Amino acid sequence: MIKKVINNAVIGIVGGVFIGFMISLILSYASGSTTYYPSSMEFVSRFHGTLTATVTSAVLWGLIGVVSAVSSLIFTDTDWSIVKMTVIHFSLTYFICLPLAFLAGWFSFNFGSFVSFTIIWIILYTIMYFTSMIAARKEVAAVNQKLKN
Amino acid sequence: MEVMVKIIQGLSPNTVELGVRNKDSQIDKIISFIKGQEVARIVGKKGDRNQYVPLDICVSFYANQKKVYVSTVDQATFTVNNRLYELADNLPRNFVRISNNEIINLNFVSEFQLSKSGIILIYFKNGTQTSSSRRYLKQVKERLI
Repeated sequence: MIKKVINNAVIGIVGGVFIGFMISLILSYASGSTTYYPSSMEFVSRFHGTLTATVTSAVLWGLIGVVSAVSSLIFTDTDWSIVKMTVIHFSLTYFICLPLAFLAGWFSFNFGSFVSFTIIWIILYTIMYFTSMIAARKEVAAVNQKLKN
Repeated sequence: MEVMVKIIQGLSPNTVELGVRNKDSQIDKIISFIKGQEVARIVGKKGDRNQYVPLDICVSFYANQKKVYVSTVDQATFTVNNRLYELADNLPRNFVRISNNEIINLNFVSEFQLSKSGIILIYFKNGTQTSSSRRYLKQVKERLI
């Protein structure tokens, strides 16, 4: 278990930094700029130079990656109920990844974006819960069918 | 496959020696069959008495505070000296893992049910029940052929 956590943490750091870098590259191009910006102008202007801004961004991307990759173990390696899995995974991403995403300058921090994000997050996890329950119900029915034969 | 049986003097008891050209999947099947014969019963301990418990009355093997127990169809419980992962590897195919700390005998299952909170409830023919999580259902289904 500890080995799996460490494994996923490493994958998370590498994946998080890679994805973050790719997205920021694409967004830098899309904004029509000729220089690279790791995040929004507003974020970059908080630092003395793009170098520090990029390093800070990379650390945040890595952290987001770690939390995502490690928390995915909730679904693959625990014996929890679907409700418990969904609620705890929600809490981890909502209370850790979301603040990190705000810190990384992906969204400007204001009441409107905070509320809309919370609503999107709740809808997303509600859909996830229902899909898992429907799939589990089908699996249980299939197993019962086989048991009868 | 040509089978030759040779009596080997001085072979330790409860041992079969296989002479093969190379170890392939067919040989593995034969080995698991032999091992399956071997664990048709298991040593269970009750109080300070050891006794053989036939596997066909075993309903569930479960771990609790680093000890492994077996519960039988008449709801008796014995302590078992094997670890759960050893049992998972050596028990016949009708025994399947259903959680981190339990292996059950599918022959005694009467029904699976999904609870409202999304846990898999397993009802046994002797009236007892246990629970499992979704990730084990696939293996259960494969074993039920």
